[in-house]
Amino acid sequence: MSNTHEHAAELEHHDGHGHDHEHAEVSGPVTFAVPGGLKKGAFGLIAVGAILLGIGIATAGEHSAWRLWSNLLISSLFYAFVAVGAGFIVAIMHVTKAGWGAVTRRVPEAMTTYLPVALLTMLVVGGLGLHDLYEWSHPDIVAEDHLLRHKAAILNPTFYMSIVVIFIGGWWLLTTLLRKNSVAQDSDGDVKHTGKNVVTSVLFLIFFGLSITIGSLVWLMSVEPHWFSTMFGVYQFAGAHKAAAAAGTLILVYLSNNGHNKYLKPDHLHDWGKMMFAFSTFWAYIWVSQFLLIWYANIPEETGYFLLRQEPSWMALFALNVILNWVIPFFTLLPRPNKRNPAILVPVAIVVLLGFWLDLYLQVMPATSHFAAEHLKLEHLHGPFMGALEIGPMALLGGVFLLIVPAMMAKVSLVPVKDPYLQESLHHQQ
Amino acid sequence: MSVQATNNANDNQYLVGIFDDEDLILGATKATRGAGLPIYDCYTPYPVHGLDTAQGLPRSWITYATFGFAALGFCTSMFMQTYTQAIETPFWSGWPLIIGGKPFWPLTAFVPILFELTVLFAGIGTALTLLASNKLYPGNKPKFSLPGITDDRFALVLDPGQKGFDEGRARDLLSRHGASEITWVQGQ
Repeated sequence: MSNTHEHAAELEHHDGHGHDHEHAEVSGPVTFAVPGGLKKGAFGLIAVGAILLGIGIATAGEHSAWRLWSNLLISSLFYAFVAVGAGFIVAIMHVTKAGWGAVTRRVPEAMTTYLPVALLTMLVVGGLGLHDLYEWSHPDIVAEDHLLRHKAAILNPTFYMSIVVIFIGGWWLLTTLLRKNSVAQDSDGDVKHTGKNVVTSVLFLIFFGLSITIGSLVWLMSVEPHWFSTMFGVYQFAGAHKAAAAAGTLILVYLSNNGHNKYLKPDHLHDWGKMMFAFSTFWAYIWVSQFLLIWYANIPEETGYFLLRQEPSWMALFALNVILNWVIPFFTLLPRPNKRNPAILVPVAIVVLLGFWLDLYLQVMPATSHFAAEHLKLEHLHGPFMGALEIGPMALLGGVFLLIVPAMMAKVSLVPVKDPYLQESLHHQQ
Repeated sequence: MSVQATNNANDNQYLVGIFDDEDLILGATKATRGAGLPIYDCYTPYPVHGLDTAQGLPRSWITYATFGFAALGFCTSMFMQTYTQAIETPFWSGWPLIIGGKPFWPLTAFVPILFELTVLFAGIGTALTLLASNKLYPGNKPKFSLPGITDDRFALVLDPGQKGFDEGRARDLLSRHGASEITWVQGQ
């Protein structure tokens, strides 16, 4: 009996009264130095990507410029969308005054610093690759095509390049403002930065909604310039958001597992897991909405998109797309403990990122290969195309992403130490 | 002391600590559980984060009910659509119609209804299960009458019938953790 009492007294002493662990404080900036291994890995990925790209170009043979440019377009947009999707997450946190995420916000903020590279790569694609990608960039074809003549006001190289500069430049500018303001608060602790960021976020969200819609139409949908879908913009947005949530989750798990940010709790990962779960499902909802209406209406000018992708050569990937992007994340992340478990979050996030790549791949490659075969009068161009040309650009830009994002995280505190929502975030419970 | 505890247990009496703040009841609950005093339940005007772990409650089983109802909704939807659209036998038939030249069993067209019924069954089923499991149905008499706990007060109820109950220690602990009131309450 006395034993129990002593034990009880001890527990009370530990757990009672002030319950001091309830008032965790961040004593100062949480510094992060990029580990040498990570830096080496990023450089290694860049080297591997460059070598693969070189091998791909050397071995692809003639009449494969379309394949090179398709992959450069896919990889450019992949990382551009991941970066701007992270910007969207930051903006949503500011606008909704989300308390839970303050301790994680530096990660998506750092991810947006990749955007200047995205601007550069899209300028390269737009400047050099248009003729191999887009039917509408050939004046002789447009001259004979009634529909393309009507669409020429938007589908032309000048407009293409202008929106690359204005949209990606705008994303860069606005996300830089958000990040700058947030970092400035670390030193002066002024609440006005939070208010400012709400205003900037609102502007960003309006701009983002319009720009990702128009950008998707011009950069992606116009690989099939006769086809159209009113769901296309929101479809890309759904993909971008879930991919950004997956990439952010990977970085957060890395930081938490290696002890770089000890304030991260399973509760924070839980919310990022929820975001990945929710937006995978949102993506599936949009995917079905686009497919269902076209299937139902059965109008020839709309069904071509899906008929091409349901040809035997693409059908397996077409099905795999839905499995990677929705079936796997939905059923693995449905139980609560799985959303809090890094050992499950990491593989699911990787699957979601692979799925996002496949999603872009399936939008571009069937169309560009079809156009190339027709235009170059080639006999046989049946997908799927998988090789050094597909992996090279993704690895190369992935290495750049891994070089820039941790370096930018290392420049500032990993936790916004004077954010008014920080206390709420530290005490966040699920 | 133990005599009184036994008496109270027989009388279906419960020792209740009333708190005016969620932080206070959270701290008190943790300490009570740490001290090995038996907690009957906590009553709060709104969900208090962390109170379930403080009480040591196991993971709720309601989510399994949700999944079960969702699966039931999915199956009901699939069955009804298949039956009405695609079943034709000499003994038992639905009413297959040609709609837009689509097949009689068009899975794509089923998707929205599958989705809606899955969500509907899961939502309503979860709500009803939750009410039933909390004994919130017409005709049920409430266990306690605790004034103010649907308003602005938080009650921590200790169960004297369980092992480890000690009124003196319980009163001491509750008052040290900021209970504004400690009383015996008659349970139904």
